Parts: sequence; structure tokens; C-alpha cells
Amino acid sequence: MAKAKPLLKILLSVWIVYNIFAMLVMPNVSSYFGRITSRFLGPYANTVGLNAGWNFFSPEPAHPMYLKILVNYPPLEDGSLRDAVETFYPSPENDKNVPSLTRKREWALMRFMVLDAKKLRLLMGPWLCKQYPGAVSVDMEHIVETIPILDQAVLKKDESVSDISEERKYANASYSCDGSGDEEAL
Amino acid sequence: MIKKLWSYWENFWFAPQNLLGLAYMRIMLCGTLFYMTIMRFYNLWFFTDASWIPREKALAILPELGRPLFSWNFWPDSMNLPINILGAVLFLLLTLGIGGRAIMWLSWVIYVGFMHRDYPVHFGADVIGSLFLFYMSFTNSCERLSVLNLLKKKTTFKEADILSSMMIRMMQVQIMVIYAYTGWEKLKGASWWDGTAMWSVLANPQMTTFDFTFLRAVPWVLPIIGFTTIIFEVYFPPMVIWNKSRYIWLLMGVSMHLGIGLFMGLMPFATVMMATYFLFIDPKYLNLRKGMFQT
Repeated sequence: MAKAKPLLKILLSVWIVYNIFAMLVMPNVSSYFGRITSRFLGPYANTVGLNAGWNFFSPEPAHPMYLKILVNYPPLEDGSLRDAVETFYPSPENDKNVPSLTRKREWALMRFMVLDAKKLRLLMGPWLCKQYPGAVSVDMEHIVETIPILDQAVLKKDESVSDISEERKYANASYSCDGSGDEEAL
Repeated sequence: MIKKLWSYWENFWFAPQNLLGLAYMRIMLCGTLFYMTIMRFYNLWFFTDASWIPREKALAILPELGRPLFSWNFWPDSMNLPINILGAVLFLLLTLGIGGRAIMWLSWVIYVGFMHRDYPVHFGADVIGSLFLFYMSFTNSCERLSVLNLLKKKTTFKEADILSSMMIRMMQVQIMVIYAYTGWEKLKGASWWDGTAMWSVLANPQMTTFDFTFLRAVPWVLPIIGFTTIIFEVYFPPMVIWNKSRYIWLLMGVSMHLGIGLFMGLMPFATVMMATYFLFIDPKYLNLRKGMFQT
């Protein structure tokens, strides 16, 4: 036992160095060290959770954003058009019924989805089609309500911030509810 | 020379430590994860094929560089309810100081398993909480502040073993690295540099629990908060290493996290971060009421 302890300490020391190296490199995995060592560090770091970027509210804090959704239906039997349904994700209508933690999770999901149009098509689209049975397609648009810069907000003190916010449209995607396009890879 | 260096190294990483700080951290961390596990009952369907992520795409949606080797989500979706009940029971027991390394490790596997099933619905509190739970699962964190100590009227306590001492140090290093990185990341942002980033945060109704737009009447407050945040985060490592500034920095951290918790509705994130502060506090300050919980 007395001999086992030094050996244990040496083995643990190797892990200490490895773990600290992963801790320092993995949050910046696109750096030179990250690129050349990620195949030794990545599998471990990604499995235990050392791969996070630690970029809270940075490099720039996010502006208010949401996903605007248009659900399209086929024409009715008499040939008349059925109105498309306009909705949002996360839905502001059920704000009061959703626990705060669930709402935070919905925001997190939405921010992940709008990172690129492919995610909207392959993940959000099929889910929305299930939520609206009978729909033929869904159109999704990432809307950002840009908060005015501080100087402008100070100058226009008498106006509400939402009035001087600017609406910007980013990633948009459409998904056909018949499943065509499902073969696209993530 | 090598002998001397090894002795420093050995002393820093493996010397026995008082386990009181770790026990306080366990209560705060496991208590928070217990709350978050309970809240998961409201949305267990997030972790099934009725959600956005089909099971077979659970890991494929992650970028290749960030994909785990395998998924810890070893149970079928139909078992989510009993597994979540088990997770809640384990976190409750651990908060009360009942359990050991195996129970804590199992609770980590369950927590990370849910994360791997639907990664995009998780945020800072989950990521940081599970990381510290991983480190903590190698420690004897239930030695102190346990209800079992009360029942058994235990008065003598063990000090940390090699593994516990090492993990306490590793958690100290980890939280320092997290803070430094968050500070450095902010320095990349133009609005953090010019001092107006806090305006974007506080004027964003999706991020706050109150309307803070009145702050444009006193705009100079915002850069002060912004720059203080950056200085706090970037200099966290040296300031908590240095004895003289340690408690000032921890107090700044408590104020910042309470602010984030109360005014941004991110209390679980705040308590997970603040839980690690106990590891920096001298045990003599933590041993406030000798006898209570048999500390």
C-alpha cells in the first residue's frame, strides 16, 4: 500500500496535466493548439463536458429574437383558400403558463435552431408539421429586434425602446410537410 | 530541485484538506440540480421523439469537434419518467449528505444523459453544473454536513483523501479558467469594449425580469457595470489566489450572480457558480455553529 500511493500520485498527476490542458484548450478549439490536439483531447473533453466555450453574453450580448412561422394549408374541397396560420416560437401567447426554466430552455433551443437554415429545415420543420396536422408546408423566419445603441436610446429618451428598435430578418427556411427533402444530412 | 518541485506539487494537489467547503458546495450544487431535475418533469417530452430531435440525431446535431465519444443516454425514451424520478431522489439524498461517490457518479450519468438526448435545450447552469458534478463524484463530499452525522451523533470527521484533495484543487482551477475565459470572450466584443454591452443585456426583455430601460436616464451606470464585470472575470484567477483580495473578489462575485439570478431569472446559473466559492473560503469561517449538522 505504501508503494502504491506514489504510483497512484504519478498516475493522477498525468491526469491532472491532461485535464488542465483540455480545460485550457478545448474552449478555444479552433486555435492552433486546439486543432493539433483535439483528436487526443476531444473525445474525453466532449464526453465529460470540458468542450464548452464559456462565452456568456459574449462576444456581443444577443438581441431579442424569435422564430416567425407561417403554416400553409392546402386549398379546401370547394377550391377556396384556407388562411395560413402565423405563429411564433417560443409562443408569447402561453407566456404565463410556461415555467421560467422551461421558457429559458425554449429560448436556448430557438437560438440553436436559427444558427443555420438547415437546422430549421431538418429539425424544426418536421416538428412543426406534426404540431399542425393537415399543413402542407411551413415557412420559418428568424427575426431579430435590434435594440438601439445606448447613445441613440439616450437621445430619444421620450420614445419607448421597442419603438426605436429595428426589426431584422435573418435565416429563413421552408419545409414541405410531405417529407420531401428529408434525405438532406445535418 | 526535482524533489523540491515534486514536493510542492504533491502538497498542492494531494495534501489532506478540510472537507467543510466541499460539503457546502455539495448542498448548493446538488440542491440546484435537484430543483432543475424537478422542473424537468414539466417538459419530459423534450427528451422524446415528440420533440425536435429524433433519438438517432441526438448526437449528430452537434458539430463534429464537439461531439461526445458516446451518449450517456443509455435508457429508452419510454424510461424518462422513472429515470428522472431516480435522478431527483439521488439529488435530494446528496443534498442531505446521504450517498457517496457511486451515487454521485450515477446522478451525473443521468443528468448528462438527459443533456445528450436533447442538447440544444440546455444552457449554462446545466453545462457548468454537470461539469462540477463530474469532478465532485470523485470526492467524499458527504463526509461533512450530512443528516446521517446528526443521527449518528458523529463528532470526528475524516480529512480529504488523495482523490478528494485533488478534485477540490481541480474544481478551483476549473472555476478560475471559466471566469477568465468569459472575460476574454467579452473582450472580443465591440460593445463590451465601448462599455455599452450592459445596455443590450438590460434592455432586452427576453433576458430580464424587470424593465431596466429607465437606466438610459443615468447611462453612465451601464459602462461602470460592464467594465466592472470584465475586470472581475478576467482577474478572477489572480485575485482569488491572493489571500488579501480573495474575499473582496468573492463578494463581488456574489453580488454579480445575485444580480443575474434576480434580475435575469437565471438563479440556477447563479447558485451553480456561487457553489464553487465555498472551496476558496477558509473552513474556520464556515464552521459558524459547531454542533449544528455536526460540522
